[in-house]
Amino acid sequence: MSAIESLIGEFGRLPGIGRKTAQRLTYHLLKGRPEDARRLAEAIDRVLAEVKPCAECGNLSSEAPCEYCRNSRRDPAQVCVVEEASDIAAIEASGRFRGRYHVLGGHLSPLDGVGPDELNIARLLERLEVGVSELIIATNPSVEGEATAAYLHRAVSRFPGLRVTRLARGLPVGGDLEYADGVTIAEAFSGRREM
Amino acid sequence: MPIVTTRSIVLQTHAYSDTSKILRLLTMDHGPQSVMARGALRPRSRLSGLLEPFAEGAATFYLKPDRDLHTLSGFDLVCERQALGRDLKRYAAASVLCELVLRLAPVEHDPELFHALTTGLDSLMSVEAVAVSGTAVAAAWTLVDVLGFAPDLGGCARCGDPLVERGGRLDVREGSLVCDQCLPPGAVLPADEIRTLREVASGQPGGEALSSRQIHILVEFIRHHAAEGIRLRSLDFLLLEEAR
Ligand SMILES: [Zn+2]
Ligand SMILES: [Zn+2]
Repeated sequence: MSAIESLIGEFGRLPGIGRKTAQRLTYHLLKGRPEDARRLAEAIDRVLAEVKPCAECGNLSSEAPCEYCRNSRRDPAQVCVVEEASDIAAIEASGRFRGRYHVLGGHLSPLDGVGPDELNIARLLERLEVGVSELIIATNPSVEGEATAAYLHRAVSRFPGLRVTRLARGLPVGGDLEYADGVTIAEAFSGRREM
Repeated sequence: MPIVTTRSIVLQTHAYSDTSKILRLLTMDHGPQSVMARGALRPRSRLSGLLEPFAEGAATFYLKPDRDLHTLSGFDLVCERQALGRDLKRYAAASVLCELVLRLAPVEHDPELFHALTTGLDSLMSVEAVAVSGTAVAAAWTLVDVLGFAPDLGGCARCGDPLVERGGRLDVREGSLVCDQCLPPGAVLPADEIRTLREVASGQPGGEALSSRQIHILVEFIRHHAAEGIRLRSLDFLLLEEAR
């Protein structure tokens, strides 16, 4: 396979990119300045070398532990559980939450073979052993996100003093938290409810 | 390039990009189909909350006969089933029904299959918590029957004993019952479990006392008789929930 074909093929494997777009991107890089393309290649190399899941919370970060787990001004007694690391940025944009995070790495989906063991749940339960007073479940408001919330709610029932809350509805059902606007997320935070 | 509108159930969804979703549908008129819902993940999309697993509606899409992915242009919701996600056993059970259809449905359309799936999902929505497993097992057997894999639960396939008083076993490969006399040594289903099996396999919801043995029988039967050795992942999930 030619070098050009191989780059088109790699772009084409990315989500949302069809063959035509992959071709456009490839020729765009070839026609542009070589240093621009090299910067892209270096940026990819760098994230691969530096970014790892935080051992504490599962957030993707180039620091260990991640910035939220290290920040002493964030309240360790509040932990907000999200499906993906990319959901954190959306919540941060709301400016409403000053606690810590926990990233599950997906949601329960029996059809896709994703059960509790495939998610970052065991580490969450360990974290709850010390000094956490509230768990905010911010999985997506989708069928799978609700099922995951129900699973977590049951799994943490062995921590008697723990307050468990779920983000209020108002977020678009079936949507992806990552793409909700800051106002919607702020509303959802103020309306979180007991489970 | 005909535009079709057909009653559909969402079996499975995957995010395709930041904004688009790919859906596996069971349609009433065109059998199982995959459609791309462009923009469905945008917060203000008309489709965002509708295209959820187990939801049912009239789907409109361009049906291109030579393609396996069509473009969805509309979905008029008839019935959402979000509540199935809020209860793990119902969620597992609904996933079992959808996985059966995903793996075993023929490409041709089959209104009876469509009807069996809606009926099964609706019963999982409405049944009391204690009876979810029994309802799930009966609904799964109904789908197995409609899909053409029903077991022969008459008498012993070897000697003809009616298996009313005597125990036996479901030979999952042959798809028939064998009595405890004709069987090689091993676990035997007592007569009352055979009676329960006949009930649930005819679509009568097993009651509260349905044993997890009945789920195991279903798992093994589907694996060896229908799914060519594949274990349904959602049945394993249901078994885990059952074991709690
Ligand atoms: Zn962290
Ligand atoms: Zn016999």
